This record gives sequence, C-alpha cells and structure tokens, in this order.
Amino acid sequence: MDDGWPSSRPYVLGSVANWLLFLGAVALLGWGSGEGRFPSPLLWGVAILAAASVAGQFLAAYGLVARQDEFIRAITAKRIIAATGATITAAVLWGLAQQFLRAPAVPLWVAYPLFWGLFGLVTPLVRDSRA
Amino acid sequence: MKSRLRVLRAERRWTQEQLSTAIGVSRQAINALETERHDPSLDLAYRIAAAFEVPVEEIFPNPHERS
Repeated sequence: MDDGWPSSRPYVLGSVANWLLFLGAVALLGWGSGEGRFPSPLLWGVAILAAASVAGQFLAAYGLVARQDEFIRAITAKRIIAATGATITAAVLWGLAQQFLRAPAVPLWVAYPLFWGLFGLVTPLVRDSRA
Repeated sequence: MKSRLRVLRAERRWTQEQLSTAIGVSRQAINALETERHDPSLDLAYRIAAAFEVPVEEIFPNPHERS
C-alpha cells in the first residue's frame, strides 16, 4: 500500500513518541510519588498523560490498519484478538494468584507493554485471514 | 478458495508487485490469494477480474456451483 505497511514512517515516528511519553511518564510518576515530591493533582496529571499516550497509540494503530487492504485488515484483527485474549488471560491468572496465592503485586499498566509484546509474538503465527 | 490467479499472472508475466499496484492492494494480499490464505471479497474479486479482463469465475471458480 502507498503508506508503507507495515512500517509507515509517520506511524513508526508517532509510536516512538508515544512510547517515550508513556515510559517517561511512568518514570516521572515513580520519582515524583516518592517522598511527596509531587502534589497529588500533578501526579494525576502525569498519570492521565501516560494513559493518553496509550489511547493515542491505539488510535494511530487503528488509523493505520483502516487504510490497509482487506487482507491486512483481516489478519491484523485476528492478531489483535489473539494478543488481547492472551493478555486478559495472563491478567486474570495473575490477579487471582495475587489475591489468593500471595503472588507478588504487578502494576496494571504492565498490561499495555505485555499486549504489544504478545502482539509481536502472535504476528508470525497468524498469516491466514480464514478460520 | 482455489484460484487461477497465479497462472493468469504468469501468463501475462506480471509480478505480484505489478498486479498489486494495478488493483490497489498490498503485495502480501496477492501472495495470500495465490497461496489460498485469503478468500477475496466480491469487490476485490471484481477488481482482479477487471485487471485481467476476464469474468470473475475464470479466476475464482464458484465452489458452491451445482453441476
């Protein structure tokens, strides 16, 4: 396609910016919340910024996929379903283990990088638009 | 879905890239059609037929046709 799927330059640059924003915000929250360095409203603001970068990334991915042909759209949808299923499965398992089996607490925001990591893992496995 | 896409493309000596550009899809889509990893929509089937200037069923035989 004319916008260079799967490595559209604007999309890649936007993704890098979104990820830098997300990781920077998480790091800032970790530092700012220690010893009361940041007031609570500022911490909320940084947390909302991190969440907005996540929404921005998904909107960019949606926009990129929407401009592709029917085959690319179909296999991408299948990959997203597989990655989402694996992410929710892992989150449910860990949530139950944390609540009832004293497993160490893991922050919920980990689901975001986990999802994209799993998306990368399932991508070479899902190559057929059919069942 | 079985198709004669690869045969027709070879007869015309078109590359997958050339065909994909002609009908406005990715090269991956052409490859998926030729290797039976994607069943085309009616719109895509018609676009391919128009590019080859043949009826759709000459490329994609109707699998549901009763003989």
